[in-house]
Amino acid sequence: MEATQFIELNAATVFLLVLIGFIGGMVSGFIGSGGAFVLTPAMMSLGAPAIVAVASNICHKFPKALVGATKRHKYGQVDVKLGIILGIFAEMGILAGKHLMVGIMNTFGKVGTDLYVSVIFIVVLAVVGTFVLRDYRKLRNAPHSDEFVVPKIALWVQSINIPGTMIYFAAIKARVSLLFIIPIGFATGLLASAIAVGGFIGVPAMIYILGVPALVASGTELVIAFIMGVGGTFLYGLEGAVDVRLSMLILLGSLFGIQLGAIGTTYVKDYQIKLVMAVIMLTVLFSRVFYVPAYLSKLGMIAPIEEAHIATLKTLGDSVLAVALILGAITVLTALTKGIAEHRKADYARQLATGMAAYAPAHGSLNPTGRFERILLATDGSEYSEGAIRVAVALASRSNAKLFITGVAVYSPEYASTVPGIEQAALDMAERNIASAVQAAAGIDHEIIIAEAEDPYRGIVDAAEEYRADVIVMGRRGKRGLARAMVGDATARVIGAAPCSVMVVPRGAKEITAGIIVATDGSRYSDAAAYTAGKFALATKLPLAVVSAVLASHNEQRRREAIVAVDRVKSGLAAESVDVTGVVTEGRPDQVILDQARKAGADLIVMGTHGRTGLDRLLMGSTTERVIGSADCPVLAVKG
Amino acid sequence: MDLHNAHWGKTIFWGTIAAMLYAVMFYYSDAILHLAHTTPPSCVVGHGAEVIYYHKPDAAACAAKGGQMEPGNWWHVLIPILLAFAISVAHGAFTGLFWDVMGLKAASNAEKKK
Repeated sequence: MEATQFIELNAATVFLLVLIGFIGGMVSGFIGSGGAFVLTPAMMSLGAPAIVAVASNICHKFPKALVGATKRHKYGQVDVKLGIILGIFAEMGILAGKHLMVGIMNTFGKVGTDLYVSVIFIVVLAVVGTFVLRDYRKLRNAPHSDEFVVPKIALWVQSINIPGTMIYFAAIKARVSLLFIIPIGFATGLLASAIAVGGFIGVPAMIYILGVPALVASGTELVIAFIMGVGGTFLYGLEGAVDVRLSMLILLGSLFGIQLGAIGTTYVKDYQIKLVMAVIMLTVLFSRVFYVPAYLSKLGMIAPIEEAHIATLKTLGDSVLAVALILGAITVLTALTKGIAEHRKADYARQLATGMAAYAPAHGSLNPTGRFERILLATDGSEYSEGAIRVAVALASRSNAKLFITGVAVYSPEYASTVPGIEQAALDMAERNIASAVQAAAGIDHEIIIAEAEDPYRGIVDAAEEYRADVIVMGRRGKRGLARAMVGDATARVIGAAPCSVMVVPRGAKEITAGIIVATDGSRYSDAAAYTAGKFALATKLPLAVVSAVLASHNEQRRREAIVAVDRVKSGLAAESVDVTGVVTEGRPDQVILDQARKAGADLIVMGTHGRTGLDRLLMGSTTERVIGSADCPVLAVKG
Repeated sequence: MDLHNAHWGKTIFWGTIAAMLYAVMFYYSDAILHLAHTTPPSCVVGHGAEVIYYHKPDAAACAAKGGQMEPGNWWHVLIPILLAFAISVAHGAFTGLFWDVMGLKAASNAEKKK
C-alpha cells in the first residue's frame, strides 16, 4: 500500500506550471510535436511522481492531436488507415509499458519509476539529439538536399510479400506486410508510456522503414498520438495517476506557447531550428543525469549518498533544466522579434511598390469594387479549378489585367521541423497544382504566388491582401444530387474573409460572353453588387438584367418596394449607359435568380455579400450560398 | 486592421468559455481529485486538505491508519478525458485567435516571381 500523491497547488506552483507549459509549448511549436518531452521532466522536478507526470502529459496532448489530425486530413496529409492500425498496436505498446511501469511501482516504489523514466529519457534523448545534430550539420552545408527519395530499406520492406498479411496503404501507394507495422506501433506506444512522447520512434520509422513521405508521416503520427493519448489517459486514469489540474495548467500555457513557437519557425532557417532542438535535448538529458545517483542510492543499488548531497544534486539538475528551458525561450523569442522586424521592413517596401502601381491605373475606376485590374486566380490543381482557370485567363486577357496565379502550400510550421523536407514537399505540391493554370496563362501578364499557410483559405486571403487583388477567382467543390447546394468549405471561408470580391466558377463554366444578372434586395450590399455589375457590363459590352424576388406571402407594400428597388438600380445604371433591363418575380430568391439567369442565357451572376464579418459562411447569406452552390455559370460575390 | 476587429468578438467568446471551464475545474478541484484517486480501489485517510489516498490498499493496513476503504469506480476516468477535451477545444480556439488579434502572424515568405 503506497500513497500516490498529487502535488499541492499554491500560487507559486500554478505560476510555474503555466510558465513551464508556455515555454514547453513554445519549444514544442518551434522544434516540432516531439517537443513535449520537456514537460515530463519539468513536472517531475516540481515533485510529481514520474507516473503522474507521464500520465498528465499524455492527457494534455490527445485533444490537440485530434484537432491537428482532422485539420491535416483535409489537406490529404494523413493516412487514416495506417494511423489507426499503428495506433491500435501502439495502444498495446502503452498497455505493456504501463504494466511495466506499474510493476516497477509495486516492486520498487515511486523511486523505481523515477529511475526507469529518467534512464529511458537519457537514452532516447542521447540518440535522437545526436541524429538531430547530424541533420543540422548536413542542412547547414547543403540547405536544399532534402528532396524525398524512398529509402532503400523502405523499398525492400515494400517488396516483401507475406501472403495473408498484406495491407494496401494510400500514403505509399504500395502493400506492406502487417508484420512490419506491428513492431513499429508497439515500440511507439512503449516509448510513449514511459516518456509521454512516442513520435520519436513513429515518425522516423514511417519515413525510413515504410517509405511514407515526411508530410504524411507527421500528419499520420497525430492519429497515432490521439489513439495513444485517449487510451493512455484511460489506462493511467484507471491507476488513479492522471492529475487533470496538472494537465490543464500545462495546457493553459502550452497552447499560447505552441502558436508563438510555430509562428517563430516561419522567421528562421531550418538548420537553426535543428540546432535549438539538439541543444535543448542534450541539456535536458544532462539535467536528468544529476537525479540518477539519488534514485540508485534510494533503491540500494549503490552505496547510500548523504541527504545533503542528494539535495545538492537535485538543485543542480533543476538548475540545468531551468537553463535549458530559458535558453529555448530566449532563442524562440529572439528569432521571432528579429524575424518580424525584418519582415515588416520588407513588407513595407513591397506594399509601397504594389500600392503605387495599384493607385495609378491606366483605366477603370478608383473604387476597388468595380475594378478588375488585379485578378487573383486561386487553384488547387483539381478538376474543380478548370472553369476558374478558363474564366480568369479570359477575363485577364480581355481587360488587360494582371493575373496572379496563386497556389497554397499547406503545412503546419509546428510539424515542419520534426521531419526533413516537409516544407519543400508542400511547396512542390503547390507548384504542381498551379502548373496547368500557368500553362493556360502563357502570353498574358501574370505572376506566380506560392502562399504558405495552415489553411488554404488563409493563404488565398492573405495573398489577395498582400497583392491588393481586385477580385479572387476560384472554383468550387460541386457535388451533384442532395449535397449539390453545398459550397466547398474553403470557398465559403474565402468569401467570408476576403478583402475583395470573389468570383466562384463551377467546373464546366465557359467564358463570359452572353449576359449578366445582378440580384438586388434594395440593401447597400446589393447596391455595391449593382455598381460592380454595371462596371463589368460596360467593360465587356454585355447586357445586364436586374432581378429581385418577392415571396408569395409578401404584402402589396413589400412588392412595391421590390419594384422600386429594381427601378432605382435600373435607372442608375442606364444613366451610365449600361444596356439594362429589370424584372421582379415571385419565388424563393435563389430559385428566381437561377431561373432568370437560365432564361436570359446569362453567364455571370453578380450578388452582394455582407462585409468582412470573420464569421464566414454564417453571414455570407444563405441566398448567396445557395446560388453559388447550384449555378452553372460563375457567380461574383461582391463585398459591400 | 479590419480583420483583427472582426476577430475580437470570437476571441473574447472563446476566451470567456475557456476561463469559465478553468474556473469550474478549480472550484471543484477537490471533488475532481477525489474522483481521480478513487478510480482504482483506494484507502482514504483524513479529510479536507489533509486527506491522503493509498492505492493497492489492504483492509488491515488501512484500518490501522484509521482510513476508509473505497471500492473504486472505473468510470471516474472519463472525467479528466471529457474535461481535457472541453478545455482543449475552447482554449485552443482562443489562443489560435489571440496572437492573430495581437498582430502576430506567420511570415508568408515563399512568394516567387516569374
